[in-house]
Amino acid sequence: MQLELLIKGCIKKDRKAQEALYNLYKTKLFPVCLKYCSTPIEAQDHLHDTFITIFDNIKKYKGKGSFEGWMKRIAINKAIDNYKKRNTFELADYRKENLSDDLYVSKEEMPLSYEILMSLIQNLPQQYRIVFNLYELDGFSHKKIATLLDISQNTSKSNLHRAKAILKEKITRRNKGAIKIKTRHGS
Amino acid sequence: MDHKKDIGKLIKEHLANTEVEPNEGLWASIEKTLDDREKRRGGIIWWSAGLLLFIGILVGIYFTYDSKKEVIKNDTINYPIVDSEPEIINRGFDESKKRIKNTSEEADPNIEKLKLNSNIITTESQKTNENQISKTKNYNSNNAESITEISNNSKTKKEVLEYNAVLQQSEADVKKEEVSSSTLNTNVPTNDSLSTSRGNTILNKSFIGNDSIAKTTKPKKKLAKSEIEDEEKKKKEITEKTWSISIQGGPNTFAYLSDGNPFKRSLSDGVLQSDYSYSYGAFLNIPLNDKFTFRFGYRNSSFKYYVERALSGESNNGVLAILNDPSLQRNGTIIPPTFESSISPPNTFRIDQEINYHEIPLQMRYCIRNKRVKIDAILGLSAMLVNKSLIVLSNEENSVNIGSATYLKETSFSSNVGIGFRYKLTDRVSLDLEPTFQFQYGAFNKGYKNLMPVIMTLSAGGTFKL
Repeated sequence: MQLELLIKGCIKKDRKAQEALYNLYKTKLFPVCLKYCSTPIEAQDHLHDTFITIFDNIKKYKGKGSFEGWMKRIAINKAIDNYKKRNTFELADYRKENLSDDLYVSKEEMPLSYEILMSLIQNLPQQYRIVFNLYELDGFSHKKIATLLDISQNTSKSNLHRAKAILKEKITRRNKGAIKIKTRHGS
Repeated sequence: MDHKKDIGKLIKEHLANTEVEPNEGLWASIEKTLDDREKRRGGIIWWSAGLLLFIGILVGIYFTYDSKKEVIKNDTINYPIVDSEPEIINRGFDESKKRIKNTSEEADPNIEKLKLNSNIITTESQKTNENQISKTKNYNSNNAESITEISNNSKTKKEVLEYNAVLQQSEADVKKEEVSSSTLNTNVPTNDSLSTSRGNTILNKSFIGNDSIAKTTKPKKKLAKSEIEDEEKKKKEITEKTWSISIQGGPNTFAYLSDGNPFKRSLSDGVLQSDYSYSYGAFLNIPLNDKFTFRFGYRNSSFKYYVERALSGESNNGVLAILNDPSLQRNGTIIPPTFESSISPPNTFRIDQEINYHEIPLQMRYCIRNKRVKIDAILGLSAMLVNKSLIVLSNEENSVNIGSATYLKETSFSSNVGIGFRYKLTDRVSLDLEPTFQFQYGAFNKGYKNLMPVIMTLSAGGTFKL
């Protein structure tokens, strides 16, 4: 009921209602922006633009599905738009490397810190990052991803595989580094 | 290592339901953007209203001019009749005199008319020469009115004035005729229907009729003058309808209809300062009629602006992250180490941006004043294609090209409004001065900042008729 009132207020461009809506959802939308961007600063801009689009289009929300899901979809669409606008790629470093086909890790191997995990995702090349986020974290199919990004399904699958392989490699390297530090401290 | 899972699934589990607090100042930034947009919307409404008013005035001028033209058309006269009037009087006198002599006994219907008219003429003939002159004047004025009513041909107001001058001339000629007719009167019996010039006039009208009047020729002097005028007019019309080429160039300045700047907020939130730049190009002018001219061409337009206090408050790492922001396409440029070491607080920078457009304008010119200094209202559209977009970051010591903007749309459009002043040097060459305003639409990619660029250009150049 409170949300409905907020939405109505936002439709009327009531600044207080807009601020309340922002305060209600900013912490939920910011992680979406973080994972699709390469830096926290870029993510702030992304969140800014997402809320502007939400306020511009809020009257189009007809109450079908969750409001939070609708807002997240706007954030994702913005990320896709940004991706399409970029025409510089940083593939060279990873194409030459022999990436592992084993994409399985144990829970113990996973870094516990949210910041570390997020920075690993942010540091992925953007065409791998976006496919990984869309497929693994936001549940899009390869067919849908191929349509959204104007790529083939095979490219989507390939990019996902590479993204996971890079993440696994980085996690493994990180763990090895941590073990070395532990060993040094232990000796 | 027990129970391994797909890395994607594990990451999803780790990130599920996490909430992260963004920067505290973000709402203020969103609020500012919303306020700017509302101001801009207000600005667009006013500009649109102004544009509509301008178009309305143009349409009004066009139709007002046309209706005036119609009024003049209705008041026009049959030009040859006016010029030939003194001759009609003379010829009518001679012809009627001959006819009466030759066919005095014949049952000619014209003779019957003559007889009828002779009664009037007889009474008229008894009056003095002064009376005759004054009546001739009345005749002239009455005749002018009747001729005006009869006439279907269109002449301009100028010709009406000329007609009055000719009318006065004809009066003077008639006076002369009175003197000569008084000589004739001595040879012709006073009771004869052809005894006076006034009688001749009436007879002449009865005999010759309107058709005959229309067929009469102008006096040589007047004919020559009107012919020259006609030729000049035709020549002018041909010259007016000739295609022409305009070559123009001049300074311009660039601004936005709202506060803020086109750069990413992380780069700078400062106020945009316009800088003067230039544009140059050429048009092909195609006259559609004496009022409207369609023109199209090519223009190369550069715009410059800058923002002070860029990157204020960012740490060194933050600055490097900004410079690697996807809103900038680095184009392979490398930041020199000396510059990199200087980009730390409290140093602030200035960002300069230069955008160069290939512009294809399609415009309509409406002639408001067609004298030696011709004044046109200009209205049109332009397609604008980004040619170059350069962003330079500088402080007092260093300056580095940090790339080009990726947020600019490759193709955008603008509406153009302006006034053109053309000073006619010769029949084929004129000097032009055109202050114009352009309102650019779709300058940025969808979802990027909503700033409406306004371009003010003062173009000077020349027009050459082909």
